[in-house]
Amino acid sequence: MGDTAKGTAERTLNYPEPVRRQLQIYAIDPMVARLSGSETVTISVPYEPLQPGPAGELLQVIDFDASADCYYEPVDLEDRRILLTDGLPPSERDPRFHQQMVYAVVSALLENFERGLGRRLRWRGDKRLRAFPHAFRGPNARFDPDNDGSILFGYFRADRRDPGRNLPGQNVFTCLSHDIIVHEATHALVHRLRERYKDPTNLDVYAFHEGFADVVALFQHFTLPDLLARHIQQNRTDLTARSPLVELAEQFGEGSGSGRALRSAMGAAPDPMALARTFEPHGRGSIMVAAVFDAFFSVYQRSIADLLRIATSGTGVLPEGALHPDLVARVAAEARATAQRMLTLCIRSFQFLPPVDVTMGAFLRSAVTADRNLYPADESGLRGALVEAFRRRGIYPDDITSLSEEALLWPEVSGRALPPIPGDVVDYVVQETAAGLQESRGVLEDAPGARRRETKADLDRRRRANAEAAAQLSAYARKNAGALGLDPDLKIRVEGFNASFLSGSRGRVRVEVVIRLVQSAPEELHEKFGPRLGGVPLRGGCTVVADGTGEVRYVVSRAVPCAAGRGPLAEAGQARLAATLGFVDAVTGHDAFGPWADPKERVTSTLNFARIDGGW
Amino acid sequence: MAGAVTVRMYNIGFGDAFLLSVPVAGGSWRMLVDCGVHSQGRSEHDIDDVVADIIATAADPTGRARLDVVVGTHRHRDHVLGFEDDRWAEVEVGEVWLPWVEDPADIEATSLREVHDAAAFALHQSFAAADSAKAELALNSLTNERAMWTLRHGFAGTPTRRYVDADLELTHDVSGLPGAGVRFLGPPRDEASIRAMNPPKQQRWFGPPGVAVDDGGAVFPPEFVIDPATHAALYPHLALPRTLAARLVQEEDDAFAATTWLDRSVNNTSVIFLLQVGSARLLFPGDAQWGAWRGLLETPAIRALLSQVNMYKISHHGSHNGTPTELAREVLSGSVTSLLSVRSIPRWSEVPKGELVDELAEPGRLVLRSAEPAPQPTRQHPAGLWVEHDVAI
Repeated sequence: MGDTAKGTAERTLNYPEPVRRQLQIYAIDPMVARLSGSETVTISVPYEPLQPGPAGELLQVIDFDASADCYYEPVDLEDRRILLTDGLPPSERDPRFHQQMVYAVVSALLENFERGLGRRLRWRGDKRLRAFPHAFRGPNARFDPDNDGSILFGYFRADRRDPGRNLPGQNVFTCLSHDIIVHEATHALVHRLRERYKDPTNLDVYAFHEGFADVVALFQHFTLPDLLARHIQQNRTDLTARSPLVELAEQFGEGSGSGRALRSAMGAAPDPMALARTFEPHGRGSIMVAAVFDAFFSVYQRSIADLLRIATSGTGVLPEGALHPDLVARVAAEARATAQRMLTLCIRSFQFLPPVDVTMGAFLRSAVTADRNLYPADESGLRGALVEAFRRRGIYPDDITSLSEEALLWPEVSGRALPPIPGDVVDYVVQETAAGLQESRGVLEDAPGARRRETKADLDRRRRANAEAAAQLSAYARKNAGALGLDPDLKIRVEGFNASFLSGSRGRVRVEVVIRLVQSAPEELHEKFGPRLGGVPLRGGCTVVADGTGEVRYVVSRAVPCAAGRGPLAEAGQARLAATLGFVDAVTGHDAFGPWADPKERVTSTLNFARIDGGW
Repeated sequence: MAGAVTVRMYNIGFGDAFLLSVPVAGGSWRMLVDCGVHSQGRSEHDIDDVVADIIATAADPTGRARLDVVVGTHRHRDHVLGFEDDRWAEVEVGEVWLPWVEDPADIEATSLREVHDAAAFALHQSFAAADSAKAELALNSLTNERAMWTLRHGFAGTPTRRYVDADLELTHDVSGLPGAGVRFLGPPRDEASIRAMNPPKQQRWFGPPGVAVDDGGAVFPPEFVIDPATHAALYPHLALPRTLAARLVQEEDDAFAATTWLDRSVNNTSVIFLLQVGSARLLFPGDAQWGAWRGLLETPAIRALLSQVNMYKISHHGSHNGTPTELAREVLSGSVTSLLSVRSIPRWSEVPKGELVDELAEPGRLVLRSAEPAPQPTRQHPAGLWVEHDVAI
């Protein structure tokens, strides 16, 4: 002891950098936390050095209140007084805790996405996602895709006549709702992965955005410690019972006078006709949410059946009274694993989703294909359950002849229809991804003793290399336009490319290289249909999935809309034009805003994140 | 029965005023459907002149004016403003038709009306300073209490008030016109329709007055508050472009969305009626928009009825969702004559909707516009105050 103390001044040996950071948050939201009797949960997020804000590498929390035109003091999570206590304890009246919770929840979400996608995430242009915990006064939160992407949280006073289980007139902060934070951040992530899904080109595009954000928010509940075990004990393993686990934004919903949680995993009984009657994106998205959860519950029930039999001497009927804590722990572990598998499956659909004009059917096909490549046998029955749950709600792709797994999978590219992706590009993206997975997050600096961290020079080099790879891919796309389902006469834009390292059953690892290519319909087509389209752009494109050697395995394409011509490409293009026009006509038919809006943006001024997330 | 129903469409601007006449023993039976103009869309004819012409036309040789039926389809200014005129007190009226939401004795109707009025008032206030066109849209939805008083309580001759709700089964007699019948197709009064007329809970504009208003100051105690300049100096890494800061609040958009919502909601309280005189079938839908049409188009018997219409008053001044494409394209007959009462307002260039008018003017069909010279045998007032169209009985 004496030696160590004496030598301190000359010591150069650093402490190892921490890997994780623990932070306290409200369990779901202040109201649910208060009612459940355990206010706080501590979650663990990847460590990165932070500036006040918190401001990290991917996320910057800026506490500017536009309604009051002022800032609130930012939290410094590096201050040792709160480092010792896993951050500030939950508090509704200290904005610094609010900032901490937004940072913690978004960071945990980003980690989950990175895990699912098998690569590091970066925002476009290495920008940071800005989060505004108290952006404005109003019962709302929203994602703003412009200005590099921001997520904005409002605050409001609870309804005075019908505040639910809140105090009448108390302040309700949407940034203290785990679900609202995850929902808005997921919009930002989906936008990062598929920028063009902000264009309302069919009824499903915003419904997918909303439904996917709710699916992620609900499954993130299962990652919260303690919560799961408590509800399994309380509801005797029945996860379909109404509980904070399967409800979204309870405080928000009750505080704004609706008397209940805003949305729920438990939709109405499956009705294949409901989809055809539901136009509003949240409502339509809810059908997708109910389907995903239906599949989850059935797989979960199957996975705990043996545990229940063991615990009940084979009857499977639980006795009266409290469940054995060991059983609860084992059941919770199964629920958590199944939830994580399902969430990962949903996230991995992005390996295959087309770059424009998503449909729920395309989501189902992409999720099934991605999962099948990693878990060929479907031993847990996850995919089968998912397909069945979607079918029961009338969601199926319109371009397949049966619901067998073979029919649902995106078709593999046969033989030598396409030459391999240029080797340099494959090598580059695979190495970049491999290096990225080794890096720790942090500011741009060479800290002695730190793990590898990207320097300014690295960043410049990466940007140059990216531009070069994009140019090569663009040349490749031009040369093979026909086989990629693209129009050779139109400009092709390389919207993004990346490699992923994905792991599946039996130690299976897949390296995939994914390229997204986008085309715009010719200017004269936009001009001809401009007034009728009300601002909806006409685009097509494809997602190309190659293996680690560059061999192209899948091409998922949406033809660029066109007005005339022969051949399968032109036919697909005409069908897309007709579908888009039909959709726009239907929307304008329903829309109260339409007659009074600027014709150039009649549709887009109604269908966008700001309008749709009204009441998020 | 011989003769015709004569429909006179006034060139009132962005608004509606229709006077119907049918020859009967000893004179004419007359019906007035709406009389109002939008503040942004006046025509060259003053509304006072329109009212004067209606009263003069309805007068007998002794100068005593009588209308057998007056219809106020819904309470928007562009349909009722003319009823503010004092001269109506001298006009004898047989019956007044109003939507059920105007019934002063109906509790459900009263509470719905109060919610709409409060919202219209709040919205108008919020726009009044900033943006006149948006304010006017909100103003259109204001109570128009004086005009509504005339419709509810005014006129000479103590008319009967009929508060209409949709009845998809029965044909009713028409007062003063033996052998004729009327079908009331709107406004609906089923549970789903009433729910659709009630504002979405989340919309803060629809709260009770006073609750939505807040002080606007910081939401946290002063020790946490930093003014922008100090913040910029202390935390330069959190610098925020002013353009972005300005984007954070989108209140005006929200309010405008609420205004358009309210506008449609009141439009969908419109009386929709089908007048049958001999073989003449005249459809007056007020300003019904998409939600009000849906139930009708889904009912086969009503579709069949609509396919026999020979004169259609184009709903909602020709907006794209006033007349569903399906109605124009598939349901209305190939020989229907449509009446379009509108004056284009540059700011709302989509009203009337070009494609809709084209559809209704296909060969065999005819569209008459209130503000344009009309082809023979349609008659026109020498100074363009009205056009007149006969529908054979």
